[in-house]
Amino acid sequence: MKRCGKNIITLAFFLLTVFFCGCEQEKETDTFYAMGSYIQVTIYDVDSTLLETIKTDIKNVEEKISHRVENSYIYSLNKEKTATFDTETYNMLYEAVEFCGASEGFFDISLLSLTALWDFDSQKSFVPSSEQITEALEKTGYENIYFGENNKITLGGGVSIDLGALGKGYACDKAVQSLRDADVNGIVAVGGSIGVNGTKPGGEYFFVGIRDPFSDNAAETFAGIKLKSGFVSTSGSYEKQFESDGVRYHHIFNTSTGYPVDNELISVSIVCNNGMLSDMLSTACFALGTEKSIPLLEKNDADAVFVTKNKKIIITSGLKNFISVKEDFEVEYR
Amino acid sequence: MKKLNKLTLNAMLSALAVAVSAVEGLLPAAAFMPPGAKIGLSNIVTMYASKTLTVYNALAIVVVKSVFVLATRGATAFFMSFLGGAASTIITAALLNSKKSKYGTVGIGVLGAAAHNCSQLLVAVIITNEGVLYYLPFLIAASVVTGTFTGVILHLTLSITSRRSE
Amino acid sequence: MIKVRDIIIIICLLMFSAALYFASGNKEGSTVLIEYDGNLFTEVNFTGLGDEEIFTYYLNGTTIIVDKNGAYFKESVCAGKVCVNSGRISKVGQIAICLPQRVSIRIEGNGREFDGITG
Repeated sequence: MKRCGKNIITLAFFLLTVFFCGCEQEKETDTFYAMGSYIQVTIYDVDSTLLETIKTDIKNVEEKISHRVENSYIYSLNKEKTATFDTETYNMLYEAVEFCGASEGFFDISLLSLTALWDFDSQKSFVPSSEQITEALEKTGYENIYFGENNKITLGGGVSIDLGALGKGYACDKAVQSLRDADVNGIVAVGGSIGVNGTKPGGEYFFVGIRDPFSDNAAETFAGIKLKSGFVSTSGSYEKQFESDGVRYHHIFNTSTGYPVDNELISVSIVCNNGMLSDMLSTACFALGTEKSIPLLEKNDADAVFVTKNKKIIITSGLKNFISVKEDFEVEYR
Repeated sequence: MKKLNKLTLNAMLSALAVAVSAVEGLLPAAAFMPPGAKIGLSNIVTMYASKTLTVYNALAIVVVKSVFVLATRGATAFFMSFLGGAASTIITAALLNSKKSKYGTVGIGVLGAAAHNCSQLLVAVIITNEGVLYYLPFLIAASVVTGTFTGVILHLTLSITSRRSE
Repeated sequence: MIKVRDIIIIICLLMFSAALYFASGNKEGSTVLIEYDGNLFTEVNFTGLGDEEIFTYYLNGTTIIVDKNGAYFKESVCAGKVCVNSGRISKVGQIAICLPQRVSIRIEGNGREFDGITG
């Protein structure tokens, strides 16, 4: 009968579409504030305990390594100049200091005297005098960090630790580890550092946008990267900055001069398989400039997107099939 | 029906269509419906006209109603009202007057409402972009409801008036 | 008044509209386009906005709010307040219009939505 046939077809169509589209909706998102940033976690599983676990992971990282949190490991270390750590954090710091060496000091975790002097987190536009800067610089230098037995770390030369340049990436590592342990795919964003486990359901890669450094709107992007189980972090001069007497000052320092880095770059985004490394590399490469960064990237099996002040984009070849850039930018692959 | 009665009936129905349309225009926009979407109560009038007069009379009523809409709500509303009304009238007239029709008044009302709403959406797509097709599922579901309502009222009206004229 | 065929028609239409609804995936939009007199006034990408970020636009007597959940008319000088009653819109294709003031806000998705933004 005609009527039945028409009915069955409509019913079939209805069921098919419900089946295909119903699958898409299985995900959960959590957002909160920690580490001075906006954090967003999306997991492809209906499991709110996992979201709680990840939230705890990230807050634990802050409790342990933030120099602002009273009685965190770093706070105590900076105060007493010696402290005993848990094994995990001890090893993390060891790796960080190794990286300081590998970057020839362009990346340094012992810059608290300098960063506290400039104090970018307060809204004041304060430019320290050169004497103040020299004085602060004397109390920096990763070579003053001594790793002792029994997880004990000692600071010499009056230096203090500030892990702001790797904290977010490290938090992403912990969060993604929890995802891996639970065998759940998802994406974690801690401020501008992003960590991803697996792909979206159906095999689709996660798509991460890179903020357009030339736009005031934080939601404007100029490129997008396809990610599968990886991390991306960005350092840019547009992030924390102020202007005084016609000069722009930003928060990424030249570790020799104590003044903000001044080279051809406005931002660098690093893609690799470790969050802390992506965060450290983004700061290091920003300070090193494009040319000097390339060997460091190759050694660490990482890729980068450099944006210069005159809107030229330099992308390492590993990203070639994984990135799409908006039309009005000039792109060069290395 | 005598010629004068027909003329009077036409005039009355036109006025009724305009009045109903005016009242409808005062209703607020509903959620999940595109702005400007209305229940289509004036379709009762045009359906009644196509049954008791001719489809051409009904279309004339549609024109009168739409011109009123043009004067009060502007050009966009005019196109929506005219095309929606015309589509609904043509389809319902064909079904109401066909001897072999297997549809009841409710079914005809629903089909008329669906035609009305889809034509209106088509106008919206032309004026803006295909994004408004987002509203299609809601409009079709709504036409089931409004069509049933108008169909029921039409049936009741027809049975009451045909009894009276006997 | 009602015949069997009518019921069939009704069921078919309802199933069809349900199928359409699920097929479209009901995409959350990413950008709101604010238009005045048919011309684009501004475009705001709201998906990346933080909790506290709220943009307010004053356009020909209407007040439009854009935040991370979408956009809506907060106020308008128009008589009918149809626009204000339309509430918040956030899905691709949704549109709210203040006809007397000729102001409209419309949601578009940019095709590929970002799962996150770095930078």
